[in-house]
Amino acid sequence: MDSQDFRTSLFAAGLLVDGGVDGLYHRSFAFEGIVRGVERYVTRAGRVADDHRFFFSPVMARSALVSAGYVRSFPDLIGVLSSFTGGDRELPALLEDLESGGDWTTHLSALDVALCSAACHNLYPRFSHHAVSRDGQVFEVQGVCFRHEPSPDPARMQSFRMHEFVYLGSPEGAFAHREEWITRGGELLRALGLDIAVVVANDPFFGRVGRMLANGQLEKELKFELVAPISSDTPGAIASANYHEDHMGLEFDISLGDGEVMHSACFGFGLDRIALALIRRHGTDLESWPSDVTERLGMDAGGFGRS
Amino acid sequence: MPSLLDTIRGVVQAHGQMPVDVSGLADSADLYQNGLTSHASVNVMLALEDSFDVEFPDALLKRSTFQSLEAIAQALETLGVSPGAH
Amino acid sequence: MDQSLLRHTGQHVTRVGVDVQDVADVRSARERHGARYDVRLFTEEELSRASAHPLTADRYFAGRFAGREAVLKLLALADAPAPWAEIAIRGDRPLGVELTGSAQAAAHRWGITVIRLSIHYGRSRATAVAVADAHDL
Repeated sequence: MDSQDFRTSLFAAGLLVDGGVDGLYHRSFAFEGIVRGVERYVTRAGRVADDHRFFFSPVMARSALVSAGYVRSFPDLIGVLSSFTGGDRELPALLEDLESGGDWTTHLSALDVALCSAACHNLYPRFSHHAVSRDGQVFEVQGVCFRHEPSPDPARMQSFRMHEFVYLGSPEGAFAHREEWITRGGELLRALGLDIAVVVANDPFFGRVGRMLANGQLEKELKFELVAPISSDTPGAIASANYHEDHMGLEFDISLGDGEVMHSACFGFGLDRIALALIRRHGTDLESWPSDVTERLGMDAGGFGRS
Repeated sequence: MPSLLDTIRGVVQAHGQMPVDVSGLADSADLYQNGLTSHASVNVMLALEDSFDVEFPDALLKRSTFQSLEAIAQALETLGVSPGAH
Repeated sequence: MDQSLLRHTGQHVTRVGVDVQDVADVRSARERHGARYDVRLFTEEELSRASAHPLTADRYFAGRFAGREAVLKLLALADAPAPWAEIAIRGDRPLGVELTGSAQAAAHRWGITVIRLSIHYGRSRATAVAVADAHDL
C-alpha cells in the first residue's frame, strides 16, 4: 500500500477529513482518541511534575522564531502570519486586487507572531537572560507546530502536534536525558506494536551552508529518529531525539549560573504521525485493535476517545 | 576485435581507480593487491553491467568475483556473456 | 563470560575488522551511477533514511559501506568471502548486524553469536570498527 492508498483508506474510514489543501487535515473524534491516548500514555511514562508541564499556544512570538534559528536554517518551512494593517486610504487597493483576481496578499504586512516551529521553541524564551540550575530540570511540553511542506502524503502534515520532554541544564545531563529517552521512547512505542528502528538523522538545513551544518550534525550524532512504517512500507520518523549542545543556551542567553552556557536536549513524540503509524499497523477499524494496545492508550476511556 | 578480457581490462582501467596501469597486468594478477579497493570494485561492477548489459546477482557480488581479470571473465561467462569478440 | 565459548576449546579470541571509506568516492559513484548504486548496495531501511535526509546521504552511505566492510574483514576467510548482500546493518541504536547465507555460516563456525559495530560518519571519510568474540580456531 503506498501513501495515496493509505490516504484514501483514512478518508474512507472517516478517520481524517480532507482540509482542501495538501497537508491539511481535520481530525475525527476517533483519530483524536488515538492522539490523546498516546499523549496520556507518554505523560504517564514521563512522570514530570505538573508545574513543569505546558500546553503551548499554536502561535509564537516572531522574535522567538528568529532566536531559535529557524529563519536562518529553515526559511522554507516557516509560517509567519500577516494581516492588513492599513486604514481607509489603503483599503481600496487591496479590494481592487481582491475583486480583479490579483494578488491581494501584497497589501498585507507581517505580524509579530508566527506559527510555532517546534514545541520546545516556546520554552526557551521564558528563561532568556536568566540562569537555570546545573542540576537540570525536565519540562513536558506540547504544541501545535507548522512546517510548510505541502504534500499529498498524510505523514507530511503542515500542521501537527509535538509532545516533548525537554532537559535544560548541564552538558552531561542533557546528553544523558537524550540517551534515556531514546531507550524509553523506543520501548514505549514498541509496546504499542510498532516496528521501531533508531537511525542517526539530521535536520533539513536549507541552502549550500545547510549541507555543512547537516554533515556536522551527522558526524556528531546529535540527532536520532525513531522510525516506523507510516504511509508506506518504508519507515518514516515518528519521534526524534536531539542534543542541542549549547545552541539554545547561546541563542536565548540562558546560563548555568556559574558563567557557563546552558545545554539542552529534547525528545519529541510526533503525536499525529504516531497515530498514523498505529493505524497503519493495526488497521483503520479501531474496534479490532489489540486490547493490550487500546488499554495502554486508554482508548476506551470516553471523552475524546471512542464511546 | 577486442576479446572479452580486453574489454574487461578497459573497464577496470576506466573505473577501477587503480594506481597501476591495468594494461600491464596479467589476466590472473590479484587486482586487490594491485590497488583495487572494495568501493572501486563497486564502480567496476556497475560499469561492467552497463558494458555487457547484464546484472550481477547478489551471490556474485563478493570479493572473489573481482579478484582478477580472469575471475571477472568467468563470472560474466556464467551470466551468458560470450568469451569471443566484443 | 559466555560459558558456551569456554566449553568448546577452553579459549576464545577477539576478532576485529576495521574499514575507512572516503565520502568523495561515494559522492562521485552516486553522481555517475545514480540510484543503481544506492539500490545495489544498501538495505530498504538505509535507502529510506538516505532519501529522508538527502543532505547527508553521501556520508551516511560511506559509513554504512565501511560498516559492512569492517564486518566482512572480521569474518574474512582465506577462500570464499561472503557476498555483500549477506551482511545487513540495521538501525543505529543499536547498530545491529544481521548475517545470512555463507556469512552466517562463517559466524557460526567461528562461534560468533554477536558482532559489535561502531560507525563514525565523518565529513570527509567514514570509519567503522567491528568486534566479536570467537572460538580460538
